[in-house]
Amino acid sequence: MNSLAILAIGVGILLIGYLFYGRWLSKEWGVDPTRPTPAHTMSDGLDYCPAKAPVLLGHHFSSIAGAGPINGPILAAIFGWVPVFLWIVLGGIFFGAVQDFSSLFASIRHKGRSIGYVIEANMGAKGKQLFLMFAYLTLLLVVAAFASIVVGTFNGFTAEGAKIPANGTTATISILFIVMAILFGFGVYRKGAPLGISSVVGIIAIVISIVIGLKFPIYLSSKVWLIVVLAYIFIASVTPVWILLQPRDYLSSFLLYGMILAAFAGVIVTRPEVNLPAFAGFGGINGNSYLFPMLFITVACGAISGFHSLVSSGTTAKQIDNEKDARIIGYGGMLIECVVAIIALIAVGILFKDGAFAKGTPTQVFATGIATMIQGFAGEASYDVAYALIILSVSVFCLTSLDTATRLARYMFTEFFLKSGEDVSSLTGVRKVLVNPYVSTLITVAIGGAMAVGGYAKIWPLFGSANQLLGALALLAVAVWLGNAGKNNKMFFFPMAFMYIATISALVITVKNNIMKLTAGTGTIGAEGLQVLFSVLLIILAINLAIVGTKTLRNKKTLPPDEVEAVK
Amino acid sequence: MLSPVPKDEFFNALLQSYSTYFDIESNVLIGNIAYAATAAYHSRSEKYVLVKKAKLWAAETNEYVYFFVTTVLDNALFLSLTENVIHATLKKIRPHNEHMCSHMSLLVIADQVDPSIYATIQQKKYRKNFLFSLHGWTSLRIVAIDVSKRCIITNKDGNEIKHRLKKLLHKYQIY
Repeated sequence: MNSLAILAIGVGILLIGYLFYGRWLSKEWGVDPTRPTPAHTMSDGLDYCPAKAPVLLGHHFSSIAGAGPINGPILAAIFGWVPVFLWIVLGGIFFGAVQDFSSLFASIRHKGRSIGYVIEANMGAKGKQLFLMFAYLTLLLVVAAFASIVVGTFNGFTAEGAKIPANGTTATISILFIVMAILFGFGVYRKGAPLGISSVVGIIAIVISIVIGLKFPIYLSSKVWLIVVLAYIFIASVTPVWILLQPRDYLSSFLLYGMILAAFAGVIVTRPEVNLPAFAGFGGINGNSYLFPMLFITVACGAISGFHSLVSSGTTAKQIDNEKDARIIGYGGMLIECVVAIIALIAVGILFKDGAFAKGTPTQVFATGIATMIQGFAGEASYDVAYALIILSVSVFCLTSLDTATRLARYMFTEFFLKSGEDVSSLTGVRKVLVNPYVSTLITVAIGGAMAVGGYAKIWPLFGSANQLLGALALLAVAVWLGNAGKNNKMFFFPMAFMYIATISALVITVKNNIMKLTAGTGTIGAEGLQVLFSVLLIILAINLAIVGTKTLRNKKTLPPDEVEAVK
Repeated sequence: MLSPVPKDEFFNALLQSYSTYFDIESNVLIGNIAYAATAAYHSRSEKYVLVKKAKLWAAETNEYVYFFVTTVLDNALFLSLTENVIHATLKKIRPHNEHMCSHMSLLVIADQVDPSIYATIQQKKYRKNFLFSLHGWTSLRIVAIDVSKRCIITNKDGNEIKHRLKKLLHKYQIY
């Protein structure tokens, strides 16, 4: 099938979903354009500050977008393009966008506070604890999965020992990008360089770094790169935000929009054929997988992602100008991410030839697909530049996710050693050492790094499961809140139940596969053993969560006064 | 011919504009120098997830502004003012791993700025890093307003304030 047709149908259905289902949800939940938002009622010029819908949509989208919608569809393409396409579109409309929109709306009605607060207010402290534990396990998996993906794009040698020039180029450019970000920050913050001029210089510098990368690729093995990447995560997580994080994220936002525009242009102008089979069977193209549940776990961020609920209930809710904007930002933002996922599916689909997928990591497959399309209208010389830019974009997103996940995991790690009412400064002995920012970061990076040794493909289902469970919990929190208020919350029941069943099934399969490897002597305790441990922990948490959630949904409680006010 | 504008009017207009975001204190004696007013601004940005305690990062920025009104700004006065401002501000800064920067800004409103010190003002530079800037940095911004000539003279770091002041003092035809 033609790629443009797939993209057009996908965008069309998503648009219909936005116009009709999104509007219906707004009515059912009582979105009120006349009601002042926290950005107005609690305006402080800092956190709470009204922002125009298009600006906020841009911020929100760059926060939720990352490597997720690219990796998932490419890995899940073994089932054929139709199941993946359907899950992206239908999952996006009825699952993911509902979660993002509802958690944003709930947060607005809770004075811009987080979904954690919504859970605690409506489900009690146990629900909140479960949520935090899920988040912690997911964070470790993020470190493992994304570190592995980055290493895969830098790895300079094939298994046979031959050099991989494209990876060497990517490594050089990525390192130069980090150096540039530091210089950019220094220029803007320290030397007072104008932001506009600095941005133009920054973009030109990115182009120059591509030229340098093409001429001077760095060839190092994946083991060395893993050590380098883990060291980078450690340093980036403990250094002040103005040195690396802020300038890097600012510069990378240009890459994000550039990549999406280039991908769009590629599909629209060249309209290549998708050679991937429409349906490759319930066992996938090799017959050794399971469409249910693996498809719904593998395509996480492109259809539903628990982490979006954290973003929706974080900064965005505090800056929303009008309640009616929640639909375009929460619901619409997720649907745009679905479009990115469709483009990733097209990229893998057009490269499928003679019954085989293109070789390389999902990032490399995506970059190859998009660069091939761009080459179709911009000439042969554009291929290397486009490829390098796309790889750079994805690896920068991964590095951003890694840094954020490590910082957050450090906080949670510290919390484990604090009793109620205790402060870090009051600790002594071993506990004092463990909560030290450098020690806790080192432990987090070490655990993540140990799991990364197994490779992204093994970690991705685990990451997907944890992420989807977070999503199910976010849906549950809002469903309970609306249910307590006597509002229609039935639209949450099927997505919640489905995600629970799918994630638990996927985790059971992961446990079984890894135990088989361990008993056969082909697995290691560091990689497969840790995955079994994580899977079992997630299963226990999921069962606990289902019990708490069911009890809460059955027993409607009397809302405290501020909750009554929130749902009026 | 420009109509004369009393420097007090400039000063009040300036102070009024600062009062929105800054804590103002009038008639402040620091060492042996009496400032017409001082202003302080403190900003803290944070990124957190779920609860405020789950802080990913935080960055603090501060600005300490010293307003000095005089008839003539000459070299001796200029040097003593800058030394005084640097000394006073360094005592206020508490560098730590969330401290990003603290600007010290000296705003002098003078009937006349001695033309021989224009270059001295423009070239004056003071910057200090704390723990190789891992604990932030500070810099001196200088803005001198010559009321008689209706012009603003700044050092390099003070340029940022100049643009803001130009807009604010546009009605007085100060450039």
